[in-house]
Amino acid sequence: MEKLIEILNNIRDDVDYETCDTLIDDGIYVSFDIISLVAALCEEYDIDIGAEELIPENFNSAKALYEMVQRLIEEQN
Amino acid sequence: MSFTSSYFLLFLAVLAVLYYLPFRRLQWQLLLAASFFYYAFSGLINLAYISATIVTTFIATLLMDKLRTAEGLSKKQIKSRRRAVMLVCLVINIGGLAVFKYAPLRFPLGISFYTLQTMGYLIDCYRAKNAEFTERNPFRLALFTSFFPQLIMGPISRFSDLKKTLYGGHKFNADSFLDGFLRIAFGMFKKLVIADRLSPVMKTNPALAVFGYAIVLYCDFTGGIDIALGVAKIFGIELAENFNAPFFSNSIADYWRRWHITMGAWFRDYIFYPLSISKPMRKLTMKLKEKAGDGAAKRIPVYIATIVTWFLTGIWHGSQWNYIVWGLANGVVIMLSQECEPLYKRFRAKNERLTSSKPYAAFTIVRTFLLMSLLRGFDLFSYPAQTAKLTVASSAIVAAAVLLLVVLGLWRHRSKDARPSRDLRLAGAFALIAAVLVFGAYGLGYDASGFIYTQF
Amino acid sequence: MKKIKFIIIPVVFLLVFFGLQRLLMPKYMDGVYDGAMPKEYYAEPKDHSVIFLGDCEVYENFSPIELWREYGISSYIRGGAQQLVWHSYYLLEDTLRYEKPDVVVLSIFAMQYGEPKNEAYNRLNLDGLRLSLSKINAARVSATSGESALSYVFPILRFHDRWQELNLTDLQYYFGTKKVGHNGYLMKNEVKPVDYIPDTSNKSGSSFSPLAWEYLDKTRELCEKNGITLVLIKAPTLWPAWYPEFETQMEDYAEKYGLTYFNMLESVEEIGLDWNTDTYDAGQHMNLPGAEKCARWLGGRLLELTALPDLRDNAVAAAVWEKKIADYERMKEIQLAEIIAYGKSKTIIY
Repeated sequence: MEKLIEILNNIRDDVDYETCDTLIDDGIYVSFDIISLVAALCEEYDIDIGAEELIPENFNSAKALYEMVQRLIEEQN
Repeated sequence: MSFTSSYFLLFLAVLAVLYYLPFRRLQWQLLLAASFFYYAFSGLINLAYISATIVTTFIATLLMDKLRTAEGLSKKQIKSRRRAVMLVCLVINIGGLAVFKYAPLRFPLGISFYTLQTMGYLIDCYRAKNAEFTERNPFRLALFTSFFPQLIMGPISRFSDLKKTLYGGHKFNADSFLDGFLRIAFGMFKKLVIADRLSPVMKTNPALAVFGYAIVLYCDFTGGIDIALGVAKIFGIELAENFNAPFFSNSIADYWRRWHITMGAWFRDYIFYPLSISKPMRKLTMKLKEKAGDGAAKRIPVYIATIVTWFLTGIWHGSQWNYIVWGLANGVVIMLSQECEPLYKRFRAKNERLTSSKPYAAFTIVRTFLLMSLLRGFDLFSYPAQTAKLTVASSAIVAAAVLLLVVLGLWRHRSKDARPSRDLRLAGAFALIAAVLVFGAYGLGYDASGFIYTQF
Repeated sequence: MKKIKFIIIPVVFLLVFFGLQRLLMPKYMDGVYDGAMPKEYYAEPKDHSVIFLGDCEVYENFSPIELWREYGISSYIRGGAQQLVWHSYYLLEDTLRYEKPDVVVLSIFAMQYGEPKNEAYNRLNLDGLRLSLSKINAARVSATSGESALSYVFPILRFHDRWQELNLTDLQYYFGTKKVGHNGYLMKNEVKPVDYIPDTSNKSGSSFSPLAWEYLDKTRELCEKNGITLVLIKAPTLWPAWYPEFETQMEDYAEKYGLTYFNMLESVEEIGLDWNTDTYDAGQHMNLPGAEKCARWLGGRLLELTALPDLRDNAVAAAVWEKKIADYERMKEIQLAEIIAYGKSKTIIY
């Protein structure tokens, strides 16, 4: 989880990731950030994030992101 | 059968009665029959084309589901085979669309819209976690593809949204019927009183060409969508909103989040994101990171995806070069404003009092409006030269009607979603209809000289 | 209370709708007076022995007032500007909803027009009709491109664009127009001698169209069914030319069905027409003296054909006609005075 927060902070450091759960719904993350984030996650965890994962439920909070990453690691290895 | 023809209104009235009375238990089946009946008016052959789309999509989605549980295949194999099925179906349908766009054939009405919508469904089925998402009844899929209010000009619906209300079980609800009625009246007003009155003259002088065209396009398109949403609402069906006060946008990117929303969302979800997070793009990012640093690595893939998306958006609008240039120009402006964002940020930070003031907000809105009008110039090229004159009386009516739109827009903006009372909505709808009846640009026009007595 | 309001709003809308429709309809009170005539029929007592159908060949060439004065025949002209054969048929259908005349006199001049020609003339002939299936069918048969039958049910759909051209007469005659016709006759008193007679020998007319024949047949059959004597006439006006081919076709038709057909051009002397004094536009239409001569002649022929009641002994009818004659004579005096003063008459409506 810390690693994930660190990645997120690299993308945008003006967000409190511990509490925020509307990253997408409130338009905090724009397309640019989302794409950078996906690239960083894929590299860091050696997973493949498909377009089907790009839904608000997966990207709205650090917690949701973490769960998605865990699930993908499990599925893909 | 155009939305503004009297026959369409008659069709609608008959359908509404059938829908809520004898066909209460067969509502979606009735809508399917009505949609095919409606579409048949644009040419019987069109029914064959849309049926081909429905059948290929239906078969492809079932095949993809069957493959999920195929024995003796590894996960990877399953994935690649499902992908192959999807791609074949995509190629058939998008290829068909391309043939009609480029070949000198009669263009089937609405094919651009229903192809996107159905292909969106196909991709959603491919992406879905399990087989439950897939529609197993081909006739229900047929209704999703052919639902007549959205068939000709959108909005482009997503299956997961539309299926909530499309498939019947609606009791007559006076409130939502009234909402639909008012919305149809408002759409008619925009189309007939403003767009159709202005469009035959907009190329006759430069000021009209810039502002008039923006107004015509807005009133014609949003008016048509208002009618589509209103018609659906009469049947208790919720279509996605396609506009969110686009002329109040403060940047081009913002504009595209407010104008033709469902199309923008389609290209974003099915082209832009998949492309920008695809493996080749990620590899490119890695490479750029090593060689050109973080900034370039972050930007270049996104920009490539942006350009491709806008190129395709341009082609989708029309096959002529001016549409492609128009699409690319949109992409370039969005990229430029993205590049300038740090500058803006600093400017805003330094001049907080100015940039948070109302005049500045108004300035950004006017700036965006002008920029969009300029971009549309590419589009206007394809219009034939015009010779009709705008009469004084006609321009007064258009001006008054536009003023009414602005006032209503501002009022809606301020009051958020507050709904006026039923009486007010009903009275408003009738007032709009009366205005359309008298001031609408329809029928043969009245030329008194045609009635002059020639002694026969 | 809430329910009531919900009903009031649509009712107000309907009032506004029909109010606007009335405002936007042309009133035909400042020119194109022919357009105001078709609706005048409905206000008349329905005791006509003779109904005329046709274009200006009837409504400018026969004076029903003279028919009454001379023979006591009660007649009405259901004419219209360039009334086509199918217009005439549906006007007969419409007439039969109100009364059953003994004789129908049909001008066959329009047989030469084989298809719907001009939207404006459809409106002039049909807008004045009360709403009925006949009216809607007439609109459908007559429709030129872009015309919809619906716009005859709701004429606002056709005339809404007149908001740009509304003038004072639209307000002045909002609640009712003045009268134009004298039992369907449009009075003209000017005199313009004939200076040219078209030569019909060098040019030939053509065969009448199937549509024209179809509606002539329908008219004949409708008369037969109702025991009405159908009389076909060609008024004695000199032009537009009536070609020998037209004449042959009409004569053959009349013979085939045992109908009476008068080509009044052949009886000019018997009628007593003087081409120097009896036409107001050099031979295309009769003026008042010409129309009276034509009426006298035709009345005599009709009485030879069939017995028509002399209603002059009927006190009620006589009172109605006395008023008609007074209006007619007054209009004649006004027009004659205007012709002396201005060289042409200005007053038509009364």
